[in-house]
Amino acid sequence: MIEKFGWSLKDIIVLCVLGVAFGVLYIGGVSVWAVANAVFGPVGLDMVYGIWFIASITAAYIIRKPGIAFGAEILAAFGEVLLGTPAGVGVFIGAAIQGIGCEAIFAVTSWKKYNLVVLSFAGMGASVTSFIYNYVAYGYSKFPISMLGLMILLRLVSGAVLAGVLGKLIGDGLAATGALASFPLGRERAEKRIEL
Amino acid sequence: MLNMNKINPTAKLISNFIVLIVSVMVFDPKTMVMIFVINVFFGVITKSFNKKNLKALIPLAFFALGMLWMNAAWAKVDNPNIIGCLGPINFTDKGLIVGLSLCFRVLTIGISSIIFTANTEPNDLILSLIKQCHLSPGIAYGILTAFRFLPSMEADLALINAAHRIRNAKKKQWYLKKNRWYRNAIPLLATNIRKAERVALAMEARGFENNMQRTYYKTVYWKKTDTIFVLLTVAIVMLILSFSAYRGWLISFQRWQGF
Repeated sequence: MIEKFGWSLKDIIVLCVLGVAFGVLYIGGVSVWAVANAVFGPVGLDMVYGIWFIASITAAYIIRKPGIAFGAEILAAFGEVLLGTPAGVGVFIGAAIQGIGCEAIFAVTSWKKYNLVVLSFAGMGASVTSFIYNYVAYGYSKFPISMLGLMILLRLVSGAVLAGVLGKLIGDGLAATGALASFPLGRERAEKRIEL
Repeated sequence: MLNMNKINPTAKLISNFIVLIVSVMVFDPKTMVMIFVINVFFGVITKSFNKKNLKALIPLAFFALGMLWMNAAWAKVDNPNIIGCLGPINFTDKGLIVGLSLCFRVLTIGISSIIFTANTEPNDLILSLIKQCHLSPGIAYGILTAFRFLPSMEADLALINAAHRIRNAKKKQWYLKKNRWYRNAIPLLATNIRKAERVALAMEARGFENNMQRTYYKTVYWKKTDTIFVLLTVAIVMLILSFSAYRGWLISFQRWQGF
């Protein structure tokens, strides 16, 4: 996988660091979810679900190589499991499914376009696949259609905003610090600066 | 006493996945409660529970309770009997059964994963994944590196907060201020990305490649006890499933009328 997609060692190490850092954030997300859950019931999960796709979006936005979105999600899951998450080793399955959702959208653009629209769609892609997984795993099929509709709508919005927009903001913030000078995002930023 | 730390991490991971997959496929509360009780029992005899990891379970427990009452109230079931009501919400008996099995499923997943993380050293898990699952050393060492960064991230955060204090970021007007979380996260990530790049360069300089044959400072082997451990997990799970199938309790995907 690694040779085929042209990941360099630098990409891998940075991906791992991003993954583990986002794993910490993901565990923090559990407490946000707990609050949303207490206020809105299980629908609260759909509102905040986008938090758990950020790793894919930001990593893909920075490194811009095939498989990065998927890898970032798996590594974030790894970080979560090693630090101890209540959601269990099941996060690997969930992460793989979310990663595929993101990666599919980037694959459609053949890993060339990374603007706000594509990133939001990538977040929504993860929303769709993760919803299908939750539908089976948590037995959502017993809920009435109207509620399922509300749940998927909330999750799509959450995926687009919390993952897509926020993920892009984090990437842009990082690019502004100059730490990404050797990555495609940093190079793109530098070219723009020269044109101005 | 069974020492869980001595069992191969991959074996524990496989066992945990078995429990996970079975509990996702079971749809009746009696079987689910049996699996749950076995998990709790196993956790108690291996002394896996402590205050810290039980605290991590609290949000999940709330989610489980949420699944319970929401299914009891709104589950789509055939000929339900109303067993109670609270204002406009009616609770049904069949909904409650669905809710109970889902509630215990969520709890089982949580408990089994706590048993796994409480008894597994991160380093051993990664070394075992390289040896037994042929994980790429590049990725494995990347994860280990990232883990080494975690303690220093706290120091970085203190540094960033000090820098904010020097620049008096706290006294700005609220609309000039950036979100507190964002203000800390960006410099923290930026520092660590820079560090990661340096580490990658250092590794390359020492001849580290992705797909190399190499030796390790510690090798995690697959022993007979590991095979026995996995087989025992399968045996216990099969025992529970066949017992409840024999009593006619078991509802799995075949008899489940959800979709």
